[in-house]
Amino acid sequence: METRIVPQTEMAAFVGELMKTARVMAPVRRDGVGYFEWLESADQLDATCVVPRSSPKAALLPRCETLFGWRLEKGEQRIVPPPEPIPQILFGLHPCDVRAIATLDAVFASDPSPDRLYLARRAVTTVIGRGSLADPATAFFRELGVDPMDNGGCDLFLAPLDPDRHVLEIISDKGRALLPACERFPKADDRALALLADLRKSSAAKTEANPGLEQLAAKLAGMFESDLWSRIHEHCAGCGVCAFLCPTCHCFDIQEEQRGDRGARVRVWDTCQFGLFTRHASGHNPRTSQKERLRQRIMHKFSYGIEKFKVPFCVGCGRCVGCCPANNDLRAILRTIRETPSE
Amino acid sequence: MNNPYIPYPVEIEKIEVENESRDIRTFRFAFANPADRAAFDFTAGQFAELSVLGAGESPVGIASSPLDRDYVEFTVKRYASGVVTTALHNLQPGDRMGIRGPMGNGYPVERLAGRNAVVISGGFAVTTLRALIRYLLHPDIRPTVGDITVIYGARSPGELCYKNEFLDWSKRSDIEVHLTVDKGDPSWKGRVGFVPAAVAEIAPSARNALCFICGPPVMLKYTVPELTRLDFAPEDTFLSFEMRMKCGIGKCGRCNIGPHYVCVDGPVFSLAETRDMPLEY
Ligand SMILES: Cc1cc2nc3c(=O)[nH]c(=O)nc-3n(C[C@H](O)[C@H](O)[C@H](O)COP(=O)(O)OP(=O)(O)OC[C@H]3O[C@@H](n4cnc5c(N)ncnc54)[C@H](O)[C@@H]3O)c2cc1C
Ligand code: SF4
Ligand code: SF4
Ligand code: FES
Repeated sequence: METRIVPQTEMAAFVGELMKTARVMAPVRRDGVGYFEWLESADQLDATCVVPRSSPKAALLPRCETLFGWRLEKGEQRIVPPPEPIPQILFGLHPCDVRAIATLDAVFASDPSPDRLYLARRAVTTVIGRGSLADPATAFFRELGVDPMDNGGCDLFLAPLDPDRHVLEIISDKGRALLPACERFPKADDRALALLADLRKSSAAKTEANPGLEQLAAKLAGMFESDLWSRIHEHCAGCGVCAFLCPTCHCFDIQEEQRGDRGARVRVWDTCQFGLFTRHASGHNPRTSQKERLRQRIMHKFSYGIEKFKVPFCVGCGRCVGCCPANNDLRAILRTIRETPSE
Repeated sequence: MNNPYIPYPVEIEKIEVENESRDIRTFRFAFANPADRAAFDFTAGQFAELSVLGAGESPVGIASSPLDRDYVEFTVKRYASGVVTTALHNLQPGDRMGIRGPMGNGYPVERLAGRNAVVISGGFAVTTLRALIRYLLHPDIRPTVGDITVIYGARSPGELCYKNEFLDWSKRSDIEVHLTVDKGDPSWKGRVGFVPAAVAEIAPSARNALCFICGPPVMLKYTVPELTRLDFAPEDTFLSFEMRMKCGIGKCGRCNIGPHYVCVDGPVFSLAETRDMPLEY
């Protein structure tokens, strides 16, 4: 694998080069908070942010996306296909956010009807991950087996050596296509690579090698009627913030837009935390209270997702822990589940 | 690979009002492009998203037989607050709209070869079972299956869907049809009583039979124990589920009962499968 050394001071310049080839989404900082956003200029980059508050999923599953447009022409309905996606680079993703893309891939590529809109956008997306040596306070990805120095799923990976330098790993064909933007950096020497190998080793040692997710899924499947659910939902306000910030939550609604003789069918983010999510036209609702809705969220992430798609629907990024207005803590919920004796 | 959200264009050929309350109508569609009808290859029990531009989409069971080659039919109940069902009911023959599908798994008709079929339904949930009966009565299919027994009930005689079709079937010798109504009227000469009671009384034989049952939750609740009493195996008894849906293709995460996405893994499940499901529907 080809490797380069990228000095921290050169990060914005690197992103500037990348912006010449595609649009780039990267961490930026506003009012002291990091967000993933489309860059307008390279100097917006926040090169230190590890897990921004918003996730990069909006690049693959936009918050509002046209599925198709339509217009009436002399009384005839004409369907207008959505525009083809344009090449895009996701820069500086923490390995847990990269893992979340694998979750989205599993869902949207699933048979019998793969989602062509998602897959087309995914095909023109280059993922540049960035490892980290210090874990954010609310994160628990190591518990779920995600190593923050792991370059899996990335096209390029920036592995930190110290606060001043990253080793840039050029991994895939999509990554190699960006070589012109990488060539300005010196090749990594043996000492740097040896240091990286050491850092990886100690990072791996701190990461759960057997997160036991299948066992967790099986155990949860037997806990549907547990009284746990009546306890943990008590504070939940049903605001949906956890789902909207989550890099793996992908549930959506389909809505109509119309103005005169033209319109569009659009998909917008939605969440199982909202009461309307499952409400039938007759008024019947299988999930009447926040108890059922929070249970669905946990079950979907740690049981149904694993059973159906073979991937967990949580990567331990900690966003929902940090941002829940009611201080619901998924880490504590998981601990309780793991400590509950199996029936 | 096609955009899975773009519906096939169809034209409404015919609209039939099914009940006295006039809130249930059957729509017959012709595909604007005949090739789309071939692509729309389905099994009885599957459903499709009916699309009205500007209003939205609704998942609706296919009510015609897969062997009704020239058209497809759907029977739709309008809800007063329902956006799509109301828009649909306001359309006229000749209007254009769209359908997206077919979706879901359908009834296991292949398992019916050489076996008897017992079909039980209440209310307008009969739609996909009507598709199944029409399919089974097709001259090419009828000789391949054994006895067909149908028990169908509605609130009142005026609420029986496909009434004339059922009355025609009841005159045939190759199918046994029992119609029942919760409450009769002066013109009604048939059976009066709830579906579960009719099932207990008629006592269809479970020998070498598959049972298909669709209806409102109360009907299911009281009918399933009767079927158990009659010895229908849970593996041979099939129900169709309804959950709020959007994508219909296992992506939007809306329709699951436990790990089962009703739009892809269902809507048809055996009673045995449903016993492992969480009670959340
Ligand atoms: C597999 C399946 C088969 C069905 N078959 C039939 C049928 O043969 N005949 C019939 O009349 N109805 C059927 N339904 C129910 C029908 O889909 C709803 O009554 C209809 O979608 C209500 O739409 P609305 O826009 O009028 O209501 P609104 O309350 O305005 O609903 C808005 C949207 O929510 C969704 N939605 C609301 N209620 C339901 C629901 N009960 N099920 C699924 N999605 C819902 C739809 O996308 C709908 O457009 C079926 C549902 C499912 C899941
Ligand atoms: S962010 Fe907290 S309060 Fe809001 S829906 Fe999620 S768990 Fe409930
Ligand atoms: S559930 Fe919470 S911790 Fe897990 S991936 Fe989503 S936001 Fe991150
Ligand atoms: S309706 Fe979208 S997943 Fe089933």
